[in-house]
Amino acid sequence: MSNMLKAGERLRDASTGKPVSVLELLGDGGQGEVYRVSFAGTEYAAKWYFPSTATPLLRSRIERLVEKGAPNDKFLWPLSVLVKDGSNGFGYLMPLRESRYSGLSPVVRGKARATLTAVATAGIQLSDSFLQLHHKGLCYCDISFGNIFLDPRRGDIAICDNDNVTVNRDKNMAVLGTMRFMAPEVVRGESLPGTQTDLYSLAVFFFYMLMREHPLHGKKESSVHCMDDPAALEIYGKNPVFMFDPKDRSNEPHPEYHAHVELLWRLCPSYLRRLFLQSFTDGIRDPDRRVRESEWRSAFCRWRDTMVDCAACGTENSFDDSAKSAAFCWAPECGKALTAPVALKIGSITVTCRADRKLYRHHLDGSYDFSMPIAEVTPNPKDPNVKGLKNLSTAKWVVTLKDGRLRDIEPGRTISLEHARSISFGAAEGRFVHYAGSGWQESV
Amino acid sequence: MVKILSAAQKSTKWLELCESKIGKSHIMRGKPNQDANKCRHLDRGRAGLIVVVSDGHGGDRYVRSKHGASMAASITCRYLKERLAPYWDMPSAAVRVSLTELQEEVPRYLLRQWRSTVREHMATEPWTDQEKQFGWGNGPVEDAYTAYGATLLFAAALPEFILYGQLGDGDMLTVARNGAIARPIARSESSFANETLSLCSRSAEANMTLAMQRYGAGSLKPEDLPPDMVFLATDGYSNSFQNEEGFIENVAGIHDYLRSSNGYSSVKRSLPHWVENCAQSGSGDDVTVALLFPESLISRTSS
Repeated sequence: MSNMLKAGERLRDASTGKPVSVLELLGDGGQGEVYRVSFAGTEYAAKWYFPSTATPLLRSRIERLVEKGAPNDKFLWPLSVLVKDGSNGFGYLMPLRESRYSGLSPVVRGKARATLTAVATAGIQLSDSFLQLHHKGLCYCDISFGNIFLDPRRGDIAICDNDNVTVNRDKNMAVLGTMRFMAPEVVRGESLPGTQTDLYSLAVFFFYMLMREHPLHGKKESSVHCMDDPAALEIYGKNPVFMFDPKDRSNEPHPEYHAHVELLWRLCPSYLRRLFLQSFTDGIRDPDRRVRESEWRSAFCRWRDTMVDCAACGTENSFDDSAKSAAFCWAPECGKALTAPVALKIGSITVTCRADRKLYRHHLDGSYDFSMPIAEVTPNPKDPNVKGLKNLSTAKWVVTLKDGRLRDIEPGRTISLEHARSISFGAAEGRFVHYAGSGWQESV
Repeated sequence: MVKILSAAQKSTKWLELCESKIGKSHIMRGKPNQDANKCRHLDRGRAGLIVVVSDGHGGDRYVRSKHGASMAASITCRYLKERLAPYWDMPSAAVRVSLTELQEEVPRYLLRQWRSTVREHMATEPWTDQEKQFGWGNGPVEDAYTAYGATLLFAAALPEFILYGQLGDGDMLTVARNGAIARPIARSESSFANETLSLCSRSAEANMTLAMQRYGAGSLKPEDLPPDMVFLATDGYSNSFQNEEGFIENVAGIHDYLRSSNGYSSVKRSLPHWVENCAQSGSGDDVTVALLFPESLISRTSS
């Protein structure tokens, strides 16, 4: 790799003049190199552009991004422009990505295992983050394996390479994206990237996350021996067909290459399958029919809320309460009927009371704020098999016990799930239920 | 149309030397050389070069691994030439090449072509009675890929970057102009639980690892230049040395030899003997060694 900067070299924050020290080269890409640097006693990352890409247009875009600020803390956003004395070069300072994050590629290839809860959490964070980005009138333009990272254990995401973020339909945008993730109209050269094309790219990314395959990689793609530009234009742009399109079976899964996809599709909850169907049938042809960020967020929240551990083998499953038949453990060596644990029904939302389950504001009033959980399922310190619900909010709960008595649960206190029938959170009421074959029934 | 070449394109023409010898143990067991290799220049000007080395598994069950290795070498050369053509034809496009994207594509399509070719071979070459003794011809086609099992090593040197790839054992090292030696792909990536990864394994696509070295990105600093030598070899070569240090020292020695006066002629003359020595007196395994180096290394030493 080339090193434009050396360890110990000094850069400057362009606006404050404060020094930034280069520590080591972390990696490089098509536009520049990324270094670990030290600024004001803290380590950051810094991108330094190759001379050929360090244009005045790029610099003013970075300056605008710095001024706008990050939509949330998931974006490793430009914090300030960096310059070097005696040089026309420039770069920018950004938060350092922690080592716990992995690209999606190892997850898709099976080299990094991500739990279902982590995948659902990543889906929630991504959709929520892009909602906030689009609300600022910005679009990302280049969703791909190389730009979005996730923690396979916890599901937290980190969105990198934000120097390509721009306003919707910017004629001066630097990149069109990565072809596999581009909306068909962008592949065909009929449209510039924007928020609507971001929605398509997001859907492709989600499909990869859940199905470990591209949505358009059915039989047609399996006959491709080299994905060169003409082949990519055909598959992703001119004749895109979803592998599970109910009206067009010409691109259905290949039995040898896509057996895993067919299994994962069957295991996927029906409400998520509906969103994929919409994204890759109507959504292929009509950008206005693409699934909105908020719809994805809601679906992934619902999915995460249904996670249970098989009582027989401990495998993580999602309990699809929209399915008519009883659920079975998906582990091939198990296959036993899932025993749904106690769940909490709050309005139309049902949340399984699994260990470490957290409740958030949206569970009560529909407004999303993942920064502060309001409740958490915790094990009894004396008997881990006994679970309780801890009040993490600032409001008092009123719990109706199974024997009809009422009990106040102050902030910081816990109520045993075994004894509770319902909880009044103030903003909403939740009832404890259990699954009984045909649907959820109240616990007695 | 006048084609504007980058500084790297103008200066980096690649040469190769390659040698393969059958191992003593194979001769004694009446087996053929199960290694394969293939080199291909991207154009007559030698400004791009692909070198592939493949080692067919030697166990008795791998009755067709010689064919598997041969197919792997040919297919890889052909595929990489086609896939990387845009980066040769348009150097500016090389700026945008993404290792992440190539990591997604190359193993997928390479493996697909290899399996397709193996199936064609099985269809046209029925299992012999001797081969059937190992259980081939009874089970599903997907299980029979094992009979063709082989490893894969490649280096594709283009004007703006080199793409390295590895699946299974074997050694690939780069030697910089200052003599520093490195493995572009960590050795731990090539095996799992001490068993080599293979083209025939179900996890082959997940386990084929790529690496990329860019150079000539608007800078001509020494550390930005292409490596002075890329060394590829099947594991029969490194297994001929007592330890890793001895092997690395040997590779460094080859580099020194190559850049000495008349080094190219000397190495070209001596390489077959070194490889034969390892195959007969060293590991006793089949041995294949391939060297890539810029033509400028030779002209540098000549001047």
